[in-house]
Amino acid sequence: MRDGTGRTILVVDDEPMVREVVRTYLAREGFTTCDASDGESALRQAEAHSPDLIVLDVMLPKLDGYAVLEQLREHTDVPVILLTARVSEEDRLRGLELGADDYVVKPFSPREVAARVHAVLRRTAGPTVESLPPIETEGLVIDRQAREVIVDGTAVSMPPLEFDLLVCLASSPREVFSRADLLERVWGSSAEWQDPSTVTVHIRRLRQKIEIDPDEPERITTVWGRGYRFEA
Amino acid sequence: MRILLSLVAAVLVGLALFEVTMQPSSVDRAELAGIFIVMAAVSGLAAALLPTLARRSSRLVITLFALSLVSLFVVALGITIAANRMFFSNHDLTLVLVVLGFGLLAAVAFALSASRSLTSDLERMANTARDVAGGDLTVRTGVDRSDEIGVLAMELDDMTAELQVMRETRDTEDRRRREFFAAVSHDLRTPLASMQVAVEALLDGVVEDPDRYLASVQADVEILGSLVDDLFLLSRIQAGDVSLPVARTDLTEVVDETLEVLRPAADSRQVELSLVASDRVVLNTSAEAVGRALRNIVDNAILHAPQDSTVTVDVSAESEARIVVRDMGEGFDESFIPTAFESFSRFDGARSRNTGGAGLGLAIAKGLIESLGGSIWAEPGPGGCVGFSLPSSDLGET
Repeated sequence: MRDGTGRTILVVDDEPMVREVVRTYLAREGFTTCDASDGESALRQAEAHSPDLIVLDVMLPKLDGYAVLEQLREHTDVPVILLTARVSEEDRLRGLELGADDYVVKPFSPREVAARVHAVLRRTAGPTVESLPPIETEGLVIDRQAREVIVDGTAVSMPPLEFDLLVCLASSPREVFSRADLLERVWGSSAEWQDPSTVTVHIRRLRQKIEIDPDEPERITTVWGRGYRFEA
Repeated sequence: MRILLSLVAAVLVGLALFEVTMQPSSVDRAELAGIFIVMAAVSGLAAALLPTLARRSSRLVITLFALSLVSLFVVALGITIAANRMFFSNHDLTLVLVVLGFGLLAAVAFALSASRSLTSDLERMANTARDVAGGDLTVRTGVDRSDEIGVLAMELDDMTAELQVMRETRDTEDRRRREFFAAVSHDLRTPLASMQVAVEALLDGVVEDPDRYLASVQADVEILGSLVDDLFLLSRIQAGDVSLPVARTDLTEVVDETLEVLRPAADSRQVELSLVASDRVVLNTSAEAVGRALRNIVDNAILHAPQDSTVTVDVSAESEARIVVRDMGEGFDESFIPTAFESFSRFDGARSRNTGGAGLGLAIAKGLIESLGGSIWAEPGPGGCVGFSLPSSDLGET
């Protein structure tokens, strides 16, 4: 069992049962937990407890999850995992654009949420400077320390998840990663819980930002039947 | 045929005029009749040929030019023959012909300028029609004239406006449908999410009091069940596929019964239910439908009423039977009233167990009351107020 001792997680959902069970699973892994049932109290709790991560439902009374996320992002980079019952891709990606670190679609498994919490905390733990030099290829610079991507001299903004996906691929140029590999490495999830199409969607968005022609990708290529790879 | 008749009429009118003004000799009369007949024949020939020319011609200006040319030619022909007979000098005849030649040039200028206003209007209409076909329904011809072309332009504009209204209606319906399905999906997923976490916790053996978890799962199953029932009822009401047996009904009795059913739910939220009725109100209606509608309205009122307050149901009958439900909660926001009776509309935009179920209650109430021929309304806060009335013609005394 992974250890969450010393870390505080804020769980925000208007369903008491969801709050209770998610807290139970996180507590079992050593996390300290607190909760909130609406958007306004979520902001108050975040202020009061300075949690290490927030699990945030999107449909909340008073102030919805997107609004809470927007207000949080004005002054903090605390990792946020969105819980969303919304089905459209657009809705899910909106959260990432607003700065969420990951999302879980309802109905979900509480074990899955706990696994994602670990994965997001690991990803956002902040790497040491000397171990991670920038990755540079023709026209593309990935600054892992500053979490910045520069395409042909222009800085490109991207949500944390897309950045981590790019770093995962670019760290091992020419190596082919299957969608299941990427789900495990980047999302800390598995194909059992998460639809592999999630990876496809994020690859597409990544290509729109770093490829010259997203329809004829040259930096991240598809190896049919096997997965994706980063061309050095 | 009509051309022939009008030409004969023109010849006769011309001769009559000649008769009245000049009292001619019989020789003159015969000669003039000859001239008139020649002119009429030329006009008739031109009139017969012109439609074919007009249809084949690629430009309106040619047709207009041909039109003025024909009238000018007919006049020139008449004058030439008459002048010849009147023993004009050659010099005078040449002068007349020069003047007529000038008239010919003027006719060209006339055709060009007359066609410009016409063709520009027609072009505008063609452009408008093309834009409309391309999907832009905001365009209008902007042609302002009262002749046939103006009428055509107006019809075109009216048609476009009509299409625009239809498209807006369709877009609104599409949006509503999407919102409806998103809301259904959300309302199904929320209890499912709650069930999923509870069941997984039970299976993993991480809970100390499994009975409480099972009770929560049972509550979620009930929520899902009633949501499915409500959806089914609503779709039947909207399809007009719900039979409401009408009978003589004591409305006060129906209200009393409904309040009794809801009293336990009200008690658990410490809300008092009170019936205000001066008289018995009896009418021909469906007791079941009125009861169901009222239950949804009062249910909603109880959920929004503060603790230790009273929800009152007022029954009255003047020109129509009226039932008004009031609570002491915040009431309807003015901006929410227009959509208060739509499916899945909730003022705070979020579903929560505190402020109620699926958001179908008032939509169902509206559907039922309207299929009974009545009407339903909400009044702005403070204090929740929803009322409905039923048609007066059925009102009767006990």
